[in-house]
Amino acid sequence: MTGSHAAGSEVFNPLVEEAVASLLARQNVVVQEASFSGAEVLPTPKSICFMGVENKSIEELGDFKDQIYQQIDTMLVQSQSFQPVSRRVVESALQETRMRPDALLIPENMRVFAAVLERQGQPLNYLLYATLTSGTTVNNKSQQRDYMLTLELVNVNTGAYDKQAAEIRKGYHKTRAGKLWHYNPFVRES
Amino acid sequence: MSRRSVEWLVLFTLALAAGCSTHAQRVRVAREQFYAGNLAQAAELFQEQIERHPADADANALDLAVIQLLDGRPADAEQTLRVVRDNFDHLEQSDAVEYGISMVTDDQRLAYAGANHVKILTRVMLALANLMDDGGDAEAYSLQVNAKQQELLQRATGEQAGDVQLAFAPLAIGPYIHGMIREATFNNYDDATRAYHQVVSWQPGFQAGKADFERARTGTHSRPGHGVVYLFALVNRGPVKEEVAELPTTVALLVADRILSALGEYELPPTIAPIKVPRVFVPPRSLDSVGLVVNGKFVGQTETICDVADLAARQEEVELPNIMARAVVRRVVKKAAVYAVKDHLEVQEPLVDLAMTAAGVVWEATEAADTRCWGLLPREIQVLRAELPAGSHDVALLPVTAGRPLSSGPQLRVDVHDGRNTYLLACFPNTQPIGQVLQRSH
Repeated sequence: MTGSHAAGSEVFNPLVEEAVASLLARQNVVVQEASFSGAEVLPTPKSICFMGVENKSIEELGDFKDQIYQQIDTMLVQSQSFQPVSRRVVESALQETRMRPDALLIPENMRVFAAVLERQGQPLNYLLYATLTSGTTVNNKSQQRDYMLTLELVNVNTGAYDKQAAEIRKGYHKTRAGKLWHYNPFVRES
Repeated sequence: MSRRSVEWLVLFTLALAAGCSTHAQRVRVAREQFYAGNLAQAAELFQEQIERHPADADANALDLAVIQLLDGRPADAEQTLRVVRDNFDHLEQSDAVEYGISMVTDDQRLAYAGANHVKILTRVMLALANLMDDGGDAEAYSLQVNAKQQELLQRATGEQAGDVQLAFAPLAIGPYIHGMIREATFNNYDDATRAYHQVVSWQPGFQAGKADFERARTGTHSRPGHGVVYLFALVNRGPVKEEVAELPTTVALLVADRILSALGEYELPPTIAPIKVPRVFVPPRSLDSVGLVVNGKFVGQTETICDVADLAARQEEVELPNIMARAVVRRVVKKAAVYAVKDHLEVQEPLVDLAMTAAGVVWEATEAADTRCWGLLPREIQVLRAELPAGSHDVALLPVTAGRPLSSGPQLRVDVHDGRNTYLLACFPNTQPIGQVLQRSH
């Protein structure tokens, strides 16, 4: 269903698919190159802690947020490059440490958090953050909104990070004339 | 006209007159039982009303749900409210036949579809009932509060759109519950921040909202070794509808004139005698808030997060001209029908003419205002958040009047869990609480 004044599944689904697929493709290459030593050895899945989707866009995600979370989590599981830590375990560790997800990027906090997870039998290699942002351009009774989903993958051991973003533009028009005037086959309209 | 015809006309009129009492009159005893604290008897009486008056079933079920909730049966209350919510959604499509019947009887013949603010509050109470049960759907219900408001706003068009927007100023309780739940996940502070920002923007008078917003933005749910107690209090007797006779307003006459023009064959008379309409009546306030005392120490008092009385009054402002207009149209249609019968039967005898006129007057007099409403709602839904050390605490809830807590109130033992929310729900229609104080941790 297309949202008439806010993004819906037609925006979020391709955003998630594109961003996660690109990130996984790149990470897969890195992992395979690192593991190549002549003999064929299947890479061990890296333990990843998906910290959730942070909504920094102008719109409320409502019930979409958990759906986006589940979509990303499912793609990670299916990739076989990563082994995600259960969301319940993550929340339980956050509760125990009383840390905010964004505070984990501080090395000391990251070590404490990783130690808690390790105690629960979940050693940690990576942290993954997803952020949804938007930018709006208004023109009389029409507006155009760019949605961007950014994935940030942080290596807990080295602190190195990888980043992948996907973007979608959507036009919202209050009049049919506006819809016609701003018609662009590469932009989603409603 | 034969004598038999006149007898039939009188019998027909008396048949219409039967059952012309208002909903408010029919449920008065049941409501009195509730406020006297006799929940079992009140529930029985509402159940009886549901069976006896199917057209009022949903209005009675709403009151029954409040009783079930305060009787410590939140799952039953949630089930009852869910059925009513779905019925209301179904009844949003109008029925032309039913509307036609209501034009020759009264608005009570219309299926009760719930006032718009009742539809929204049904979702609020669903969220509270679910919080007092397993809590699994409370977040969904909290999101539905705003979603329903948005839906109603978008549907409002034409001249009344401005009034409707005023009547449906967004309710802060929806995002408050949402923020409260998201914050307790320890992982969704962005959602909580956004939700509390809405609370602060939509209800600037809610003082605790600022602290909630700051905590969600930069802090954490609670300190290590602590949990949070949320006290939800249903405070003071809420608004009810009563029948009153009023002169139609200019706006109502304008709307009535339009309806009559659409019907084609009728005209608005130059004067209209007072008509019966339902008006919102809010009982006087008995207390300001509820104080929370933990282990003998006064922790704080509840604050209004949802002003039900204000919501009902704003809703009435929007609805009243239409209700009056329908009553005016009904009167015109009834008068026209009596004159048409007289003309058709060529009534010559003064006695028969008098009898028919009298029957017409009785027909009009049998009309009753539609006073169906959710009468057991509180005047305000208030809330207090208190962070407490994990463990078991002696808690007392004290009604606060004129800024001072009274010396006595319900006492209970509350278990606070590390990093979790504990919810308390109490009802204070006056300084004496009704039913149980519900307690649940998630």
